[in-house]
Amino acid sequence: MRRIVIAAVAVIAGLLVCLSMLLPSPWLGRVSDMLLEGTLILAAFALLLGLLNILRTHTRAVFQGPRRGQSILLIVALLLTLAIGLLFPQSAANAWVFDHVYLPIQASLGALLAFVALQAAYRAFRLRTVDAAILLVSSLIMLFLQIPATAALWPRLGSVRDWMLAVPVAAGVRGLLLGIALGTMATALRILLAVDRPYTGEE
Amino acid sequence: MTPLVPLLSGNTEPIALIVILILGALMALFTLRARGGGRMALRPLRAFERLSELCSQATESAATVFATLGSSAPEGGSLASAQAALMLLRFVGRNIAHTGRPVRATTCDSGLLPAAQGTLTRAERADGLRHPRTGSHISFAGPEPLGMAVEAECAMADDAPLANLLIGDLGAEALMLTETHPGVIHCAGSDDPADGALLQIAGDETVIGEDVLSGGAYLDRPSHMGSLVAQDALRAVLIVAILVGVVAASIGLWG
Repeated sequence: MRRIVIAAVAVIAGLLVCLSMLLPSPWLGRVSDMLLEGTLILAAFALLLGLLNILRTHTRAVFQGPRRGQSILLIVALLLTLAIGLLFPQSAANAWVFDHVYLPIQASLGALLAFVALQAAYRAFRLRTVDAAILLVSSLIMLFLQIPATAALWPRLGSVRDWMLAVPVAAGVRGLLLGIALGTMATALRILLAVDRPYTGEE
Repeated sequence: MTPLVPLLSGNTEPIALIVILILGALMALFTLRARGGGRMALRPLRAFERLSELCSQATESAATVFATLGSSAPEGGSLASAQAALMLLRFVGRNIAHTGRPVRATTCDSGLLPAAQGTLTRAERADGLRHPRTGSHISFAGPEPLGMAVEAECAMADDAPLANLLIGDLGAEALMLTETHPGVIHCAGSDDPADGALLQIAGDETVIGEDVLSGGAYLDRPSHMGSLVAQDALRAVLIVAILVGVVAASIGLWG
C-alpha cells in the first residue's frame, strides 16, 4: 500500500509539471511552480544530508582510515567555515576564507586539469585506432583554424572555421542531442508511467 | 509564404505533446511485443558487455568496483543520466555484493546520495547479504566535481579497485581519475556532448549520448527493450521529417 501511494504521488506530480509545460493553464502553472519550489527545498535538505555524510565518513576515517591527518584537517576546516558562515555571514572573515583559501585551492587543482587533459589526449592518440586518428585529425584542424596566426596567414580561414562550426560540428552535435532528447523522454515516460520506480526502491 | 503546416508557424508546445504521445504509444506497443516474446535485436555496445565481464572478474578476484557519480538535475546535470547511473550502480552492486568487497562510490550530488545509498543497499539485500551496509560506503564529496575527483582519487589509491564507473555529468575532472589510475579499468558514460568528447579519449570503455540511457535494456531490464526500440522508430520518423522539411524549404514550400 505504501509503495502504491508513493508511486501515485510521484506520477501525479510528474504529470502535472509535464502538462503545465505543454498546456497553457494558469492553475497548472501555479501547481507546477509550487511543486518545483518543493523540489528546491528538498535539494537544500539533501545538501544538509550531504554535510552530515561528509562528517560521518571522515569521523570514521579518523579512527580507522589510513589518512587520519587529512580527515582531521577536513573536519576542522568544515566546522570552522560553517561556524564563520553561520555566526558572521556578511563578515570579512567569511569572504577571506573564500578568497584566500577556497578559491586558490580550486584554481590550483583546476590548473592541473590542463596537464591531465594533455596527457589523456597523448595516450588516446598513441592507441592508433581509427577513432583516435579521426579525433587527432579533427582536433588538429580545429586547433589550426582557431589560432589567430592562421587568420593572418590567410584571412579566408576564418570563414572556413565558421563554416566547420556551423555545419559539420553543429550537425553532429544536433544529431547527438536529438538522440539524447529521445532517450531523456523515454526515461521520463518510464518514470511517469511507473515502469521505473526509483522513488519506491522497486526493481 | 504560407507555412506548409500551420502548427509549425510558432507555438511548439502542441508538437512536443504530439511527440511525447507518439513515443508513449510506441513504447507501449513495443513493450507489449517484447513481453509477448517478439524478437528485438540490439546493436552490441562493448561498454555494457565489458561491465558484465568486469563483474565476473571482480567476483573471481575478490576485487572491488568504484563508482564516481556526477551531478544530476536540479544541480545542473541531467536527471536521465542520474537515473542511468543508479541503474548501472544497481547492476554492479547486485553482481558483486557477495564478494565481501561491495561497490564504493562517491558523488558530488547531494540529491543523488540518498538514492544511490538506497539502490546499493537494496542491491546487496537482493544478492543475499543479510546485513547490507546502509549506504556507509557511498560518500558525498561536496558540490564541486573537482572535490569529488580528489576524494575518488584518494579512495581509489586506498582500495585499488578493479574498475571505476564514471557516470553522469562529471566535467574535465574525470580526466584526473583516468590519468592518475591508469591500471584501473575506467568505464565512462555521459549524455553531455562536451563530457562525452573528453570521456571518449580518457575512458577504457565509453558510452556517450543516448547509449548511456539504454543500460537497463542491455544489462538486466528487458522491460526497457520496448522503449529503446520505440526511440529508434521515432528517430527514424524524425529523420524523415527533417529530410522532408529540408526539401520543402529548398523548393519554397515552407519557411
